[in-house]
Amino acid sequence: MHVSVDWYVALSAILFAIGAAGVMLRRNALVVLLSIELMLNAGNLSLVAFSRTWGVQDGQIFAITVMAIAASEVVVGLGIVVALSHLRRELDTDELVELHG
Amino acid sequence: MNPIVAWNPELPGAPFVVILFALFSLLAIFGAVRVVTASDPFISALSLLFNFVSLGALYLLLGQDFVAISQILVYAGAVVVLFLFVIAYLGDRRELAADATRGKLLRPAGVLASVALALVLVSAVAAAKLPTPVTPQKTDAGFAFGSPQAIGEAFMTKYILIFEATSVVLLVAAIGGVVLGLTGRARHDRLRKLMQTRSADQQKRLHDVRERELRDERSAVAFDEEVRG
Repeated sequence: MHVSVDWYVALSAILFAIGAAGVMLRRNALVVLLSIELMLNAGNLSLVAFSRTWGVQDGQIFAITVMAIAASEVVVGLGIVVALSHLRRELDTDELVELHG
Repeated sequence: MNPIVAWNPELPGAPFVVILFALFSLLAIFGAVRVVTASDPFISALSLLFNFVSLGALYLLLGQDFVAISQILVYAGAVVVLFLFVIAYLGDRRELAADATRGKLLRPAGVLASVALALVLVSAVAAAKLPTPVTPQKTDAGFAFGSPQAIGEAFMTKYILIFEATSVVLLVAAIGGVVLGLTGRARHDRLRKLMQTRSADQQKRLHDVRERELRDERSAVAFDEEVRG
């Protein structure tokens, strides 16, 4: 008995769906950002699992690049959240409609 | 290749790997669910840390040492700490109970959509008949698969463009963080004014207040002149 690559990819699918649920259900902008991180990590897990399947390193390079991009995304996202917090008390994503036409 | 190798059933540690996979995948799912369901953002961030560490362990089971350690260093070490800093800085901002019940119809719809997404993806994986993993070969320079040396070699040769582009992205993000975070007083006031002029009602109220102040000032000046004159 051993763990096949299917299990890792299925786990990543489940984690991705949980992250998507967070983005759809939560209103707090911070929790939405946390859920986006969950989804990025789910993608990373399947990249790494496939990299191991084929024995090539491209997937790992991809995963490490995703980590760097995710870190930049967090910096910009949290910067926006902090800037918004100076203007209003709540961080409700339904209320943040300043850019509506 | 690290000593815990996932796919070789002949290896002495193989049943152990199954147990480790089950343990860490359940922990990862538990952390992910807590991120979404916790009403306190602080608990959400700590659950995300839980999830990240479990995923790091799974990367180790996949024989990818360097990705595992970067997962711990970058995500658990930097990203989650940044989140915790911001949550602590902003103070307690739980979602109000009134907010949670506002979209009575949308909430089950969101749950349904994500469950459907999970079912579709998992059934696609189950139907896909993924191949049995090959035994990873050493790189041309003789480095083990997934080792820091092999990753460094790949980044410095085949993927040099990606490496450089990533550094540019990180620089731009750092500048963006500074611009967004450390704004001066003037920019701050301008943004506030922009927000205030959004509602016509508010605009009228401000106008009225200014008018009244002006009138008071004028009458005060007139009174002053009368007294002196």
